[in-house]
Amino acid sequence: MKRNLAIREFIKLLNDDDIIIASGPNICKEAYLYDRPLTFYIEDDSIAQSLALGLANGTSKRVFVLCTDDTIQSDLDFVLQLGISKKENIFCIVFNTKQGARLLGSCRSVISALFNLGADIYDYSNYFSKIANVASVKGHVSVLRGPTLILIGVKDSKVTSDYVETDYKLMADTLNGRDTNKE
Amino acid sequence: MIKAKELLECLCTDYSYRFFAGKSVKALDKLVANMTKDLLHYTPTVSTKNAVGLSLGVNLTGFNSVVMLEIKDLALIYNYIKDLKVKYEQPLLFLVGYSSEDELLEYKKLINKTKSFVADDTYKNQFSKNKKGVRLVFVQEGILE
Repeated sequence: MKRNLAIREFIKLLNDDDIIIASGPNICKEAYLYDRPLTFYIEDDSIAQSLALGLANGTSKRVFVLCTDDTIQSDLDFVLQLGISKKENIFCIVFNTKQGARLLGSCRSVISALFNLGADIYDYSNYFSKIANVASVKGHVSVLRGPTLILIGVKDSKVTSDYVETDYKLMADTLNGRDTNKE
Repeated sequence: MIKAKELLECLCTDYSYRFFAGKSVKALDKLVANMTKDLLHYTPTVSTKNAVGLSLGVNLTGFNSVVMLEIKDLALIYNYIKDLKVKYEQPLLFLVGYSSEDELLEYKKLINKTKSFVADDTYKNQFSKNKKGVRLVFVQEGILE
């Protein structure tokens, strides 16, 4: 499945009150096509993950950060921070465009560190190989407990959309239930 | 000398800074030593950028937060802070530790003229309630006891 479709299908699995942080330009473009009130777009992927973790600290809502394998491999600090956070409402979804289990292979030490720190790691690649299979993972997503890293193997996609990076003030207003144009 | 416990109480009780994040900072180690769970939540981070992201995230949910960092790390995140200053209103405090006046001079290009210090008993003025947005406050090594 192409990454933009995988993002669409994953968003469909979530509840309306789940927070999504789309990180990095490609993920932002693709997620914007399926925009919803609690999806926020942070182009700077070096800050997006830790910002998501911060949101998880400040709210009881589930926070899902969508990123690519390149982001996660270049920001290993965050992966360790995710593990030690012990936050039950933070989930990092990695859309892996590399072949097969390459991400798992290249980051084996990180994966084992995460495992030792008490984080869960799941590979949803099989569920996301065909659209018809995705529904079967919905039950699992609904009972997920963080901190969790989910790997989804996808094919690269080139999608354009006129997304606008989320303004922090708007984000604060939305999260704190103040009236905004976003809703 | 300033009592670290009093500074903490000032930040947490008077100005509602309840979330602290950052790498280990020598100038602020007394502050960390006096932290208690009932007063605040402290998350040690592996990098300063992580601390900024975490604090910003917590901040966006409505809690005032503090990033603790060394002055040498300021260069790494300064452009980001400058950007935040323009578009951000929620109080977000950066407590910057430095070792000596010489070190401060090394980074003078990064620090604007309105720099604030925790240096004597008047430090409470640095955290005035009507000051919104991102603030940098400098703490010299050895000033806290």
